[in-house]
Amino acid sequence: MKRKLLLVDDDREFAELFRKRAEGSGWDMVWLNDGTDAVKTVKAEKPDIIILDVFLPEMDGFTTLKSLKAKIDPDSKAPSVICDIPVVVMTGKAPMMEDMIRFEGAVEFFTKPVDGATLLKRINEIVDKRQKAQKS
Amino acid sequence: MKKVSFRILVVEDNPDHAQLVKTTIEHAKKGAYEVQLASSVEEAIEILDGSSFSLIMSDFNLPGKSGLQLLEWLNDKGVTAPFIMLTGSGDEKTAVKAMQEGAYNYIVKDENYLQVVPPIIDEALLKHLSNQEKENLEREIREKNIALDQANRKLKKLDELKANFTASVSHEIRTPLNSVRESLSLILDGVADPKSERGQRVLEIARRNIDRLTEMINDLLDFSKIEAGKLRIRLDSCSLQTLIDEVVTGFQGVAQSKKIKLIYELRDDSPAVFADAERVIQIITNLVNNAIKFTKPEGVITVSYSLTDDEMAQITVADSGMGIPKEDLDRIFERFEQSEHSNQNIPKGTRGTGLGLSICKELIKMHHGKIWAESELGKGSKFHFTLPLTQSVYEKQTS
Repeated sequence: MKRKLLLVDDDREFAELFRKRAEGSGWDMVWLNDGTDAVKTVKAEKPDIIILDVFLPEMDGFTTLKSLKAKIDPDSKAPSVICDIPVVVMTGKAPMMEDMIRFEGAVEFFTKPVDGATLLKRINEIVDKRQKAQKS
Repeated sequence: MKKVSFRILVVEDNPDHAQLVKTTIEHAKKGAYEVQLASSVEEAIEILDGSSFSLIMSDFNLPGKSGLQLLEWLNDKGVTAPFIMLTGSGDEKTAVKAMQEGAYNYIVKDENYLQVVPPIIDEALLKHLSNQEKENLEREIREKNIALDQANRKLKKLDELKANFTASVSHEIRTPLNSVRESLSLILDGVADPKSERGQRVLEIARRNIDRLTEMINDLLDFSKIEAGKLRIRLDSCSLQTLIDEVVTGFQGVAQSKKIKLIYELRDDSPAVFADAERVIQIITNLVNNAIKFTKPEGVITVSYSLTDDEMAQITVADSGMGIPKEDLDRIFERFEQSEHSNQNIPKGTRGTGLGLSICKELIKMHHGKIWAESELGKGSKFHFTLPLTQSVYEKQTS
């Protein structure tokens, strides 16, 4: 079954380039250029993994991360169905941010510029591990 | 040498005493002190209404109002000249009261009091003058502190702008670098075949980003030169039409791909301008680039020129884009500034350094011309700049 990833990044060209790589490797990719509709999109698309750029224009990446990882859905007040989806964060060099991001529940982060091959390999490993854990 | 005269008002109702005091004082410092007499508080007040004195000395016991009441009146009026009270012997209460009310000193009218009058007056005046000087200095310090505060605030703001600038330029440079690297990785990793259409698009992305980087680096270099005062231009006679033509032709491809009409309004005349051709191209390029950036598809950009009364050529780049808020119209020409409003729909990585317009402004200043913008939100913007037509016009125009 094809794996699906959601990329939230305002860099249109990086998205285009990464899409070529991901789709060539058996992934389906959904792209958002901003975090405002992230939660809505995740609920609709149910991706296996989310790649999130922390520096976003409208709703900043950090707020988006918090909303994705919230244990209680703020609208329905029911337990969140999406908070277990692993989130990989892309940031610039900012050591303080890294701690905050880890604290908020991101499973890994990459410093930009990101090497597409490494990122793809990593998300494969993360999803592999999860699926194995879920089976056992 | 001009004699400095201190005017002293003596209020004393006994005419003999009054004359004695006047003579004593005026003789003590020949010509330095001028004494005017008043025989009552009421008379003193009348005199004080019309003129000012360096010092006022008054007897306590007077017909009508007392010396103390005169002191109170002086305090009310805010008269700062020192006040000396003459009291009768045994009248300590009055003396104390006078001091409490702000008198500088008091003199008891005993048998030798005339001897102490001049030195006490000297002392009072000296103290008063030095106090005044102190007050003036304090005021000067206060004013200088306020100016310093303002300068500090400005510097802090500049620091902030610079820090934001550094962070945003860092981001603006890394983003295209990242894209170039990724593009090459895709080819090298065999994900995209350079001969295929997919591969060609990937390489196009790389090239486009290299161009972006080149532009940014050039801006940063120009900016460094400007900051170091080392930016140089080479002025010569050039054909304005040719310069505009070159830029407009160069942008047609980009404009078309964004479905924007880029028009160059030709005229019958072909004026020459006294300018640095390369730099004029740089300026027009910057303005057209901005126009394209901020104009939606189906929009129109027009480049035109006219001649002004003071022998300058005025070049205008007009767009039908989103416009610029009034409060930003001057700011955008400052270093590090980008209009927040205009940047809303421009993704990071394509915003550039924010130096372009400030560099244009500096370049035009060096040509002794002017640059300014007009805009209406939602309707569009017009950027104008002027260049001298000839060397003599250039030399006539003040920079």
